[in-house]
Amino acid sequence: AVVSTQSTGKKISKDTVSRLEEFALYLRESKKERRSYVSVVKTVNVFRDLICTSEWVTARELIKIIKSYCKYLPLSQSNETDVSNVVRRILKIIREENAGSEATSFADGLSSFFKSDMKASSIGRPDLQDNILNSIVELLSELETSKSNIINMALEHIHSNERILTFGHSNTVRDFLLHGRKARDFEVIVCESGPSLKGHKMAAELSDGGIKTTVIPDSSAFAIIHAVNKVIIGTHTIMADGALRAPNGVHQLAMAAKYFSVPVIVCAAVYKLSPTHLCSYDPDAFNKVIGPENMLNFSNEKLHSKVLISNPDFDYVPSDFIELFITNTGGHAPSYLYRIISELYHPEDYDLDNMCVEAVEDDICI
Amino acid sequence: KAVVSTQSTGEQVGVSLKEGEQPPKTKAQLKAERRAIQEAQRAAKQKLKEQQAQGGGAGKQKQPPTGAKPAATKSAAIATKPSAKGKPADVSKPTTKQPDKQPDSCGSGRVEILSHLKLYDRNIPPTQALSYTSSKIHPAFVKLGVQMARDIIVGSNARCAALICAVKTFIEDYNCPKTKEIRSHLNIALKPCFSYLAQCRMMSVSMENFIKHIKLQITKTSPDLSDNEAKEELLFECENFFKENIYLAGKSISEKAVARIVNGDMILIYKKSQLILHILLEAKRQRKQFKVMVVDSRPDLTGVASCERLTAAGIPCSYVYINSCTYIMKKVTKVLLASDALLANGYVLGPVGTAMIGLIASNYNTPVIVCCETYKFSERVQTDSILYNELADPDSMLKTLNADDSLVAGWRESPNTRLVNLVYDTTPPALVSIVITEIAELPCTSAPVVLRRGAVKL
Repeated sequence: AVVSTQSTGKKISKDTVSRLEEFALYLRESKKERRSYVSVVKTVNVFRDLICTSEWVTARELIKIIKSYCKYLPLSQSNETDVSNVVRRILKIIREENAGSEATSFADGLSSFFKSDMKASSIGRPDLQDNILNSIVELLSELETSKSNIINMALEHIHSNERILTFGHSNTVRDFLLHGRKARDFEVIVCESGPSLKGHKMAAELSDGGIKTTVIPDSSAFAIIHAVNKVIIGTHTIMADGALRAPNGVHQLAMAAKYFSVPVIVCAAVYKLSPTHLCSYDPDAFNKVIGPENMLNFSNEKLHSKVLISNPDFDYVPSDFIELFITNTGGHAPSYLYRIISELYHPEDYDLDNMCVEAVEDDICI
Repeated sequence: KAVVSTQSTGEQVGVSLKEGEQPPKTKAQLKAERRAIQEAQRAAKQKLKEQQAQGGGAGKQKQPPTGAKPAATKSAAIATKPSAKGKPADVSKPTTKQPDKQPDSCGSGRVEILSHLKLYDRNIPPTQALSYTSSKIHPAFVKLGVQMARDIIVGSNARCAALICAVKTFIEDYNCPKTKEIRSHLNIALKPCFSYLAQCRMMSVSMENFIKHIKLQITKTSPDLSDNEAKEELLFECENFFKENIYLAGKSISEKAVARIVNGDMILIYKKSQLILHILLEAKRQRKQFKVMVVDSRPDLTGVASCERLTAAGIPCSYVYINSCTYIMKKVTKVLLASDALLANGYVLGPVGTAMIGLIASNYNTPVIVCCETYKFSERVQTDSILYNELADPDSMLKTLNADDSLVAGWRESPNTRLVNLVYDTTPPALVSIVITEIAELPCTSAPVVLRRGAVKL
């Protein structure tokens, strides 16, 4: 996919083009085992590059360039929410730096609604670029420290002799629990999360770290949850209302936890917080259905040809099942997340395909 | 005076001491002392073996896993059901040296909240402690025990039916000694068989209820009847139990359940149950148009067999794992579940995962229909799934369908890893809409009424 410069009319250097193509390829290929943190850092670097090397004069043009590049990334697929979120952060940084000294916040009263933050500012490109790059460096350091901020809160949430239930595999939760182990003694029960059996990997890692781990099949979760103190899970994405897009099987676990009034705590960095809502349960819009080879052997062809086998990858967990979110900005109730979204992202960037930057010519923004 | 003597050899290795003086022990004396201790241990082992032969394998050596001896005592006491009162109490701590290291089939470390449950130890053949000649256990029961231990016979109805056959064979071959009455001696003769079965695999509620019934029938046989007549009566009782409580009850339940299936239904079933499949095949025979969603779960994946039966009959099926139950539940119109027992406080005992399905279905307002024959109603009450349960093979959780090994495959070596594979779980009555039995369609909470009715009848 060649990055087209027709929409912006500006040229981008060959180097940058190849790096952008590489990044698009990386997103397309490594879908399965891609680590959120790694891809998020890659994203920032690629876009920093784009900012430095592409030709633009005003912030508006820069935003157009970034958004038109995003069209070539497979961001509409459900897997790539962390990348989209980081792009939105970068766009917000650009807008903020552009607004510069006349920084308007929504708290300033109704008139700020109608002021466009895209008016031609007095800051020229070199200064603007410097400011943006500085902020991006801060963003990178925030991303780097996001995990350690989360795991440092472990001791506030785990007391001794506790039994904690977790589901499948999550790097954040694993490090959270291992950090807690350094000071407290507790036990962890891991649900297998079949058919991918990621829970086995988690159990192996936790027990290597010295935590007493028990592996149970997912069907036993209800049987055992009344004897558990809390449920700590990771997630793929946090939706704007506090709901989750989590690995398949978390919804029923949360239901069982609610039935027995066991608190469910979600550990996730804030770049997983996405300003999107659930629009539909369809596999195309929200979920992803993967191949059934882990469920039923292909050698059993008479069943494979006659039976409809579903292996969805994600689960939608409504926000009423979640008690607390532990993010790198601290612990939050699900009802508070809308506030964080308004601080992190700009409303015009919620939909990355929306190129209505051009509409913002006058002072009145409708 | 310190005198060391041995029991069997009667040797006296005596050393007379002055008051409070410790003589230096020669090598020969130390050796003799050690030999004495060994002889004592061997004698104790011999005694134990004799008691085992009498108690019919009840004292089978439950190998004590490291660090779990007290738990083994508890589990030994609980595991022998129901007729093992005469069992010797000193089973679990053999005083002999451990023989060459048997593979610790129980695994290192136990889960504390489940330490009251008997660990899975079916790697030891249940017939190990039995001897050919002096065994009091009928070969039909020996065979049945092995079949149950090896999961060849599974399912509450199947296990009960197999038990009925074994008891019938026993009664046919039974000869009452001249000085005893059949109604008292037959029970005594059956006791070791039942306790042996309990050790092969924990008895299901269906089996326990049959045993209770047949014991009562045996004690009620009239003393005026000749032995043969009494045996015939008891054989008839056994057959009648099967016919009324399993065969005809199944037919009656399936009639009632099929009446609730309408065209266009999407019925959810869980794993494999003989009764539920019977109901669905009957509905198909009555030309109802419906689809089935089979929910399956690891590690035993019996839902595949369900799918095969249903597709062979031409019923359109879908197949998911229990993780995806929330994903498909909105398409489902009814949930049809089988149960292993109905407890007196209304809880439904079923294969593990049933409770989860009941919970999800009630969240989506889908009716949950449980089918249970009345002979499976139990007087037990409990509110959670852990107290009365069975642990199945933890290594079966390591099976993966792709070629890779599970990452916890080395769990026995790791001191921190445990695998738990429960067999049953209890579903609270609030999550169940209706229970279909052969006498009526009831809410869960009517279980004690049915139990009382059964008791009054007797």
